[in-house]
Amino acid sequence: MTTLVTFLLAGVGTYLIRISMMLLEGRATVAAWIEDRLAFVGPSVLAAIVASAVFVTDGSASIPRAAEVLAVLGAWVAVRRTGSVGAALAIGFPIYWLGIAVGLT
Amino acid sequence: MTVHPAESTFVGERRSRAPDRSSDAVRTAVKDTLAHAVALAPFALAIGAASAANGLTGVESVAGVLLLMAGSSLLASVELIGAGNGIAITAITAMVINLRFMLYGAAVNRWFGTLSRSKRLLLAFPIVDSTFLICDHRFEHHTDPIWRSRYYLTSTLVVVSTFVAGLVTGFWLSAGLPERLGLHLAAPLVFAGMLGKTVTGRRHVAAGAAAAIVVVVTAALPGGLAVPLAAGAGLTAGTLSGEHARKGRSR
Repeated sequence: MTTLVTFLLAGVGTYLIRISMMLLEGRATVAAWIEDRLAFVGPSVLAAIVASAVFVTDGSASIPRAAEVLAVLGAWVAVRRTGSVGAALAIGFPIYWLGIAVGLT
Repeated sequence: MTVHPAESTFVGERRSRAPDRSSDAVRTAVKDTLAHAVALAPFALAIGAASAANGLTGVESVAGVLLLMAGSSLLASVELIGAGNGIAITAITAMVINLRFMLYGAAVNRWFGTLSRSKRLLLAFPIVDSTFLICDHRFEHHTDPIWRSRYYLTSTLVVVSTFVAGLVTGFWLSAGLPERLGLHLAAPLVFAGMLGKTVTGRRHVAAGAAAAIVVVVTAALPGGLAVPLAAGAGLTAGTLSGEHARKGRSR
């Protein structure tokens, strides 16, 4: 139930974000200001989540597993080169499995 | 770009001189959207797998798709819920990730400028990255609002149905797979890939680096404040690095 309430709240908030520019119609200076900063939202949140998944264990900073770090780096490089997000999984998982197979923990 | 005279009307105009048929709109939308929808399938599979790994039910996962209509924030929410974060932190983080939808909502307003406000408000609900990119390109050549709305809704339907199918498949497959396959990595891998796509300049690097450092340093803070704080740090670093570069150029 908590999960559904979370999704509902996030959904309502996201909808308000979607229609916000309709409500702000004509206020070009506000739009330009927001647009300039929006460019950094994606990299910031993505980097935070990746770093949190790799470098944080049970709520505190920890030494990451080498296989996971290599897999994440491989995913990053794969998408940089191909432009396809699917490549992140196609390359990242085999690197992780290989890393675990050779004892990188 | 060459524009046919019959199509050289402004977006907000009430009539197109050569209105397109509805069936054409549906057919064109399916044709344009399928490749994008298939490309989204691995992402949907990853979210399905991550949902199962983080203890969500299938119903909750599908509800997440339909309520949020935003894959990246859904994946982040699944991760945060799995890590034990509360409703407020998870919902706020999802909304921060979705801030870019402001621009998409503005595009919906522009595309359907001749329709009533209530219709535009409804049409803004399902706009996502893929449909924004597809429609923004296609609507350069089609100005009839009815054609556009049929195209947009068909494109949305193709994306959402493919996404839900992928998510359910990922959820179902992950339940029978051993833990050593490392499916918990699906989300970080997808996000790392998306990071590779979105980082296109020094200011983005500054934003990402600041956010990564802050999220690790503040990991022990209660209430799951680390991710929102890190996002704030990233935004600040990106903005400040731009101002620093501008000052440097003006000297």
